[in-house]
Formats: sequence, structure tokens, C-alpha cells
Amino acid sequence: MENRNINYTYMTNLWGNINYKQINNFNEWYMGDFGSAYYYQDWDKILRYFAGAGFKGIEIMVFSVPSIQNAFGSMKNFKEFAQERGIERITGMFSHHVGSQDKRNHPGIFAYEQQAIDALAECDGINLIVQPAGQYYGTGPLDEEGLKNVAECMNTVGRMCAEKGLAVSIHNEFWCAVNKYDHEKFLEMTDPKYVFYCLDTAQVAIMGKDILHFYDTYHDRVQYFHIKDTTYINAPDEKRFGAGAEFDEQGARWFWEPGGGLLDFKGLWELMKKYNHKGWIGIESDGTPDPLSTILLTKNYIDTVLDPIYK
Amino acid sequence: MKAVASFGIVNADTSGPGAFLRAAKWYWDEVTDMFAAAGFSSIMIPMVPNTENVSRNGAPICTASIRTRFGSPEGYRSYLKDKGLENVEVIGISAQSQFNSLFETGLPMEQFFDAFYDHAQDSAEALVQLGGSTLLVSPTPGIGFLNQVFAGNAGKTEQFLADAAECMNRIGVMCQKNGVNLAIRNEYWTLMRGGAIDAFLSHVDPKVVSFAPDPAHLHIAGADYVTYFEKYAGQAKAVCFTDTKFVDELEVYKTISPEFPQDGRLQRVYYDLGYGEMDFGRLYGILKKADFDGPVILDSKYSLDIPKGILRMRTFWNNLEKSFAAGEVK
Repeated sequence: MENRNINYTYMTNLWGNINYKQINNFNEWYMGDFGSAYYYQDWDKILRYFAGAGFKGIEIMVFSVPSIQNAFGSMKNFKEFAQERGIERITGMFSHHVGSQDKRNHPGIFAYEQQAIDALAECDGINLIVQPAGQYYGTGPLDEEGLKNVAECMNTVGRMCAEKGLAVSIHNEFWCAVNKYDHEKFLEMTDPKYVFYCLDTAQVAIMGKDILHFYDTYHDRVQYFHIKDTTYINAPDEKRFGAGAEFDEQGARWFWEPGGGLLDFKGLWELMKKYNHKGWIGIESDGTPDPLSTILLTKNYIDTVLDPIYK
Repeated sequence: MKAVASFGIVNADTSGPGAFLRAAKWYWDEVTDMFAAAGFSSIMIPMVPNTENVSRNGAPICTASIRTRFGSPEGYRSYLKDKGLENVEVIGISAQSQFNSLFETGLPMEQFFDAFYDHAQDSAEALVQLGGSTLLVSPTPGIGFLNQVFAGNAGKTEQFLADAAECMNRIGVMCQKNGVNLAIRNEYWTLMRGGAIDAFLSHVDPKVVSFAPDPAHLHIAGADYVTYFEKYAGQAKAVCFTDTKFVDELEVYKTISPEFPQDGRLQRVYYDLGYGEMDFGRLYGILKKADFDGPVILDSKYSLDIPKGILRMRTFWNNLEKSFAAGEVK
């Protein structure tokens, strides 16, 4: 096996919610409709698409846990099913702390996160990736007390993760209540022993941050990544703070596969090389209208542009 | 009879190219245009309980998302009218979606029916503003889920069913006060399935609770759907038309994945209307004979091709009306 410092894992949310473990009968999904639905309904084929494209890991959404448990009976079964299809590791799970600015919501968040942590640990995961608060619209801006509560919530979940051998990392959406004006301050309010940072390159760039400067400054905390590109660097506040900003009302696309936008991934990989980063690098492609094309374009970009710099 | 096209044709929780984008408002702008272009004037919207995560959704999936995007239900109705749709005739809610929300809200089962009642009240009040007539409610979560929660304890399940009936009566009174009808629907994987429907209905107040039979769900549960339509057409305030070819050979109704059978030779439950095996011509005749004049909810649930499914739905209804008229002439 090739000796690498970094391996690639793919967040599965670009597919939507996958309801079936395995579909066997092509005709049941084809005859009468004559479409391609058969190819996109089940984990069996979707896992094989990732593995076939050369990705060895996947990440899942916390919202997928109930349907995975429904389909497989347990997260452990899911892990084994994935391994049989060439996926070596379910590396991470995305979750969120909606309402964390209010301490009264913390017990509910901890109960919810305990389910997520247990599920991730059961499938031998590594990293719980957390949106630290709800959307900015209706919640932000956070005052000092609110920000402190969000940080405390993250610290507690970090300790909960550590008890199960997992890590927690901050995933800062461009539309989150924790936003441009308190982004670094919030990171510094969290406990570096328990809370890491997952650098979502597009989200942070849309927020108006220079991703190279940020990584150069906080590389000790940045242990995880969501790699995606954007053409919309430094979006104005009114775009980021609007209702449901993640889904543009006119359909404008925020996120692209790496190489499809304006971000300097070559520069980021040079920095990873400088700091000798090791581990799984997550790819996230939420919002693509064509997952298979995006997966293959991403793999080609890794092979031809990123790997020659650092792998 | 009034044809009411269901937004349930879109499975927002499915996978495939573009599935993620079903949460975007532009997607629903187009779907809404398609329903109007296919000649429908009234719609049914299945709604889930409000949680912060779904409220930012661009889909009209809950009252909070409607308020976020359109200001109010009235604002949404104005938007629909601009697009050529008259009203939201029916809002559908289900105890299963209430149950599903427990994972995110952390609410204990002891508060289940209070939360479900609140969800129903919020939905009924929105329905009034949307110019609708009927709140459609599926009264219990799935049998498989309840078996997990109650560890198969039959006594607890019986009590839950009694509580469900009591909750339906409370919702019925609330609906009456709001000037809308409550219609409860059968689903093959809930406690109100097949042969258990009559017993459940005997525990609700017919003055405030009506039954909206669904042939596909009756058929899958092993009941004679024609007999049920004949029996209940007279009291119905709404009926559901869902199509299927599915045969529950492995008792999937007892599992925690009843709508997505994980095993067996048959895994697809729902079909576009007219592409399954239900005899809708016969049901249409039964409803006509009973002078039924309420909404017929056309539910091509989880269609695999949304634009085609909407047009098929129109063709289906046209053919039903045409066939019935031809029979009358004869």
C-alpha cells in the first residue's frame, strides 16, 4: 500500500438521504419509468462509487443515523458493509448545536450529541464535525454571554467525545450565528485540549476569511478539513445573514468541486506540507447537481494537482 | 369531487442527483409552477414539526419554513395565487414525523401527544390562512418504532393507541373551532392499519373525526379496499388516492423501515397514479354514488420523476373523469 501522510474521505451528503441498504431488482425501478433511479437509491452502489473513484473513507450526516440504523440494524453493521465495498473507514459525522447560545438548551444538545457520539464510536469513527450554533438569521449577532455559552457547549461535547476516543471539531458555516466578526475569537474561547477545527475552505472564504492566513495561524487547531471551492469569496453580510442563506433563492451555487472556483488549494497544500499535516482530508460537495461528475472531477484534481504537492 | 394534488410526490429525503437541492426554494418554485401548468388549482402539503434545522429549508415543509420564506401562511397563499394555484386545500401531518423529530428535539415519549397536538394546532391555524378545508392526520407512528420504544409490551402499545384516539378527539374539537375538518388516514405500517381501522374509529368521536381511506395502504395491509370505500364513503370529508403494486410478503410493516423494504424481491412501495394496480375507476364510482364532494388527494408518493409524475397525475384524473362520464352516457 502506498505510504501517504494524508488520505481522502468524502462526505456523503451530496447524495441526499440514502434510504436503502441494497436494491437488487433493476426492473422494479426501471420498467414503466425508464429512468436512472435504480443507480442512486442504495448504500451498496453509492459506497462502490466512492471506492471505485479511489476514496477510502466517508463521512456521514447525523440526520442519516436513524435511516442507517433502520436499514442496517446497527452502525457496526453499516461499517462492515462499507468495508466489504472498499471503504476502509467511516471517518466522521456532521452534527450541529442549534440553540447553544442559550444555556437552557445545553442538556437537550448533550442528549442529542450523546446519540451521535455513540453512533460514530460504534462505526469506529474519528471526528464529530460540529456547526457550533444555529443560523445567523434569527439568532445572531451573539453577545459575549451567548458566545461564551456556545464555546462551553463545544467544550463539553469535546470532553464527551474524548471519553469515547473521538475528537470534536468546529465547522463554521458562512451562515452560522458564529460568524465573520467573532470567528477567531470563538475558536480561542474553546479548549484546545478537546476542541479542534475542521477548515471548510469554501464556507470560511465566503465568510470573508483568507484560508491560507487562517490555516497558517491556526494550523495546530486545524486537524480536519472540508475541502470545497467557491466563486463567491467574501460575500456581503446581507447574503450571509439572510433567512436560509445556505439555499440561495434563485439557485446560485455556493460550492464547487476543488478547482471549480477561486480558492488557492495549491497554496493550502504547500502549507500542509510545511506543517507536515497527517490524517484524513474530507471532501464535501453539497449542492452539486451531479454527484458522480463532481466525485470524479475531485479525484482527478487530487491526482493531478494536489498529490504532486503533498500527499 | 375536487382533485387535490399532493406535494408528497417529492420525497425530500431521498438520494440521487439533485436530491440535496430539493431543500432549495427555487426547486419548489418550479414544482409549484408545474402543478399549475398541469391544471391543478389546489394542493396538499405534507408537513413536519417545526425544528430550527428544517425551518431554514426552502421547501414548504413546515409552518416555520413558510414563515421564514413568505412571512406568513397568507404570504404563501398570495405566492401560490400568483403562480396560478388557488389554495392549500389539505395539510397532512403524521405521528411518524412527530416521532422522527424526537431524535433532534430530545423530547421524551411521555410528552409525545402534547407535542403532536401542538403541531396539529399550528398546522390547522396555518390551514385556515391558506384557504384550506382539511387537516389530514396519520394518528400513530409505525408499529416497528413503537415495538422498539415499548420493547414489545402489548399493554403499553394498547395504552398508546387509546391515547392516540383521545388525541385525535382533541384535535378534532380544535379543528372544528377553526372551521376545518379533521380526516385521519390509514397507513399500512401504523397501528391504524387494515383490520384495525374499524376498532380505532370506534374510539373516536365521529362528530369531529372523519376517516379518509387510502386504497394502497388498505391493500398492502391485506384489507379489501373496495369494501372500505363502500363502507366509509358516506362519512368521508376527504379521501386519499395512492397507487401500489407492492405485496408485503415479509411483513415489512412491522419493521423500522416500512416504506423502504430492505429485504425481499419487492422493495418499491409507491407508484405514480395509474401505474400501480389499484382499481380507481371503481372507487371513483363509489364516491360519486355516495355524493362525495370533498377533496380527493392525488398522492403519487415519492415519484421517481417529478415533472413526469405531475403530468401523469393530470392524465390519471382526466382519464378517471372521462371513463366515468362515458359510463354514465352508456
